[in-house]
Amino acid sequence: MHLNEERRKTMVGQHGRRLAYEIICNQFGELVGKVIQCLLFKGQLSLPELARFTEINITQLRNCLLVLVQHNCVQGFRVEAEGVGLNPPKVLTSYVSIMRNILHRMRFPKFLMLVREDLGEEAEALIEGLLEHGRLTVEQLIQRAAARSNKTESEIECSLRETFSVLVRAHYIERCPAPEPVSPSRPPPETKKSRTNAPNRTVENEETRILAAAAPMEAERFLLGLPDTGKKVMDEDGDMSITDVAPGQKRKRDALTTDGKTKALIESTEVLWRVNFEEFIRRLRHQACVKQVRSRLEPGAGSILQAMLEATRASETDVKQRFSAPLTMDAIMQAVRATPDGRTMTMERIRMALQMMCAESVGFVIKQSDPVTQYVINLEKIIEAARKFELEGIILQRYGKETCRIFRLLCMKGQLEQKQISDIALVALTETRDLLYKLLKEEYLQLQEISKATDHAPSKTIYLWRVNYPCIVEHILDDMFRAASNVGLRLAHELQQEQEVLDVLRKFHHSKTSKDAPAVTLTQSQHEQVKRIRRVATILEASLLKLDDNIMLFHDF
Amino acid sequence: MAAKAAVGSAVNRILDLLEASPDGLSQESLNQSLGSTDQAGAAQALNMLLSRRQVQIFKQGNTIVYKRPPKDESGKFKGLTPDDMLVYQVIQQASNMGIWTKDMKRTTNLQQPQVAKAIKNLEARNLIKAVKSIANKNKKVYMLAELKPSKELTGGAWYTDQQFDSEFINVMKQQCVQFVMKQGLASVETIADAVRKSGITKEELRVKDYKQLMDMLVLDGEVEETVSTGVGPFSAFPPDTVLYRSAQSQLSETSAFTNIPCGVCPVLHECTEDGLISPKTCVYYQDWLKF
Repeated sequence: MHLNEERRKTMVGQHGRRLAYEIICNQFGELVGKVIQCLLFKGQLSLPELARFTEINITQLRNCLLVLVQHNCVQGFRVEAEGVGLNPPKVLTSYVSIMRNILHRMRFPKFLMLVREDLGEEAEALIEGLLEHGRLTVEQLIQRAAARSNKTESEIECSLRETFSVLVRAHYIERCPAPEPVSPSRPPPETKKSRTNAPNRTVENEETRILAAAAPMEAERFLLGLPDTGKKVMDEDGDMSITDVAPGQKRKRDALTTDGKTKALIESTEVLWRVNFEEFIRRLRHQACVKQVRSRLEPGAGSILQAMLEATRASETDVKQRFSAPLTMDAIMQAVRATPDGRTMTMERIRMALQMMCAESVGFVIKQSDPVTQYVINLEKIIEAARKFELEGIILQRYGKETCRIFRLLCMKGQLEQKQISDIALVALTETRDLLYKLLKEEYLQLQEISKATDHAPSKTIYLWRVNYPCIVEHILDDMFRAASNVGLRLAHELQQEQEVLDVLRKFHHSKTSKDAPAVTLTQSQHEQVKRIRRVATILEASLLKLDDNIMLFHDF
Repeated sequence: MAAKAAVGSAVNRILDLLEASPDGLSQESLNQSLGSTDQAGAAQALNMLLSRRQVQIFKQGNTIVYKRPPKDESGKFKGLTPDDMLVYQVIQQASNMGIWTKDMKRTTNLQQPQVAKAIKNLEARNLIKAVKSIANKNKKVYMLAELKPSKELTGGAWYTDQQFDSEFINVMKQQCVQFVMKQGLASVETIADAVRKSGITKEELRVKDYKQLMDMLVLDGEVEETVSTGVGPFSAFPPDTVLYRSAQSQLSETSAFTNIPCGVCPVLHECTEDGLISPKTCVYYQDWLKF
């Protein structure tokens, strides 16, 4: 029983890794896929170890790793192994996969859309370049843009640099992490208890530890330091913005420029940049919060929350930030008035909405009155509410109204007996029993036995049902990963099935554009086929993007 | 024959005494009141009255209490055997919860045929009735004919003929939701009144039953609970009344996850890339992508 449970635990969560593997396979091919599969499922590995497991020759393997590192899917790090005897300590390089970043790859369309809405098309093109190539220097980005727009580099450089610095200031772009940090010392040896916490958790811990070691100092991360080509650069002291509350607010330049190390960084032209996924996720998370408040309470409250989030965003340090920085009523007023929706809002209106969000039963915003009245957004609570809403929807669709009612009842009351559940939920006793056992089987519910006698006789035992919330979230998330993986597989399968007609279509387009190619026409049935596959692909792709919203809600937010 | 006369006078004395005190008399106080009458005669008189069922005997703690039975009862029991009476009393004690034949057998120490015979006799006289319990459909329990079965047996207002009546509940639910929608705000009492007046059901529902309905609607996310402050929109209700209004955000009817066949797939956990159940050959996907 215990063993079984242990195995189940490792089973859960494997579909996320599987999905990551499939994404890499689709985008970079089987060989790279094999490498990432090894890293995802076996944890950190050194080059020789990888070579042994994957059985790929070392040159190819190196190239695969390069691709993965370039695209921020793998992080290398050095481990010092103790020397044997008189030998000096050996330094080994190991690699660890970054599952989060791999999963982000299916969200690129969302990221692009977001940046276009926020900063326009030029910014979108820059981000697109970085997403496509993983890591680039500013020069490479300019070259790319020039090649695309058929203009010379010097023509577009100025405005591109401008846009680039805006992107960095908005934290959409960051400097790449150190290529091979020395692995930080391991945390104290695990106690027996923590070791039973399923292997995937330790892998994840390892991953975060190494990433933290590799990440540049917060101060350097968004340090622009453009090489001294444009004369404007000197004026752009805002470039060093890290914690600026509002862009444009001047920071003390002297403090930074006098620092020798920083100076060196600024002057280096070889700075590699990459997209800062965290910022995108943060903004999507904020959007999800606003959406939740909008539909739960009222649109006005949503707009106010949006303005508040905008004002406090710069001070967030964690993607899964629990509470926002506190805001005074004046600051909120100011922020709200600056938005198009809030321009016409009266003080009274804002106060009402805040009160609504502060209400005990809602708790989206916390009012502090010490030493002055300030408001703090409880981001965690809003996300939790969104999760619960989604979860209830899923249970309703999967198991029907009665089950959803019972689930909500148990969420509300904690734990109840079967008879009580049947009475309150107004579901017949026999049906209640069926539904409860079904949920128990899915591990959504737990059954607590409280025996009044030592022999645990059923007649003298009270059986209490309660919701197993963390387990539900874990299961649903895993099911979602599995579904995403299935949709992807189906799409690949559909495209493969129609390979022939798609080839014909390609030739057809080719013949239209170039005169030399032989004329190709499509038959009626081929037209039908093309229409069908287009529709199927659209449905599958759109569903995947929507499903990913849910995955983000449960995994990244 | 003097003894006979003494018994006769004792009978009259006892009946008078018991008539005077409807709560019954204990052995002791009866003896005291009889006073002069000789003990043997009194005992004989009591025995006779008991056998004619003109006096009933009860135990209160350690003392024995004698009582006159209600007026019409004496006639009802004419001709019943002591076994019948024993069974009758056991059934009477079970009150509106009823009692099962097996339990009767145990408490009366009678044999199965005797119990069966007694039940037959009592049923023939319309003294008791059989009732089916919802907890166990094949188990008949007996109770006095004039009693109304308890809620535990019938399941309360939501059961019709021992069957859980979800149809009835749905109708009532709709009615309540409609009323709340129309009114904007409503308390349980106003809802109960309105539904009663609409005459939609002949069933006698208590306010408690309506409360149960409303609690369920809250769980279904169709209405919300709120507490009256007594001012503004709540002015029609006294402060601190629990009120219901239609829910601002209802349960989500769709989810991106459940819109995909996998989201509601019963065999998702058996699905593998190249297995018997596979996304490539999945029939649910086939239907989904067909339309």
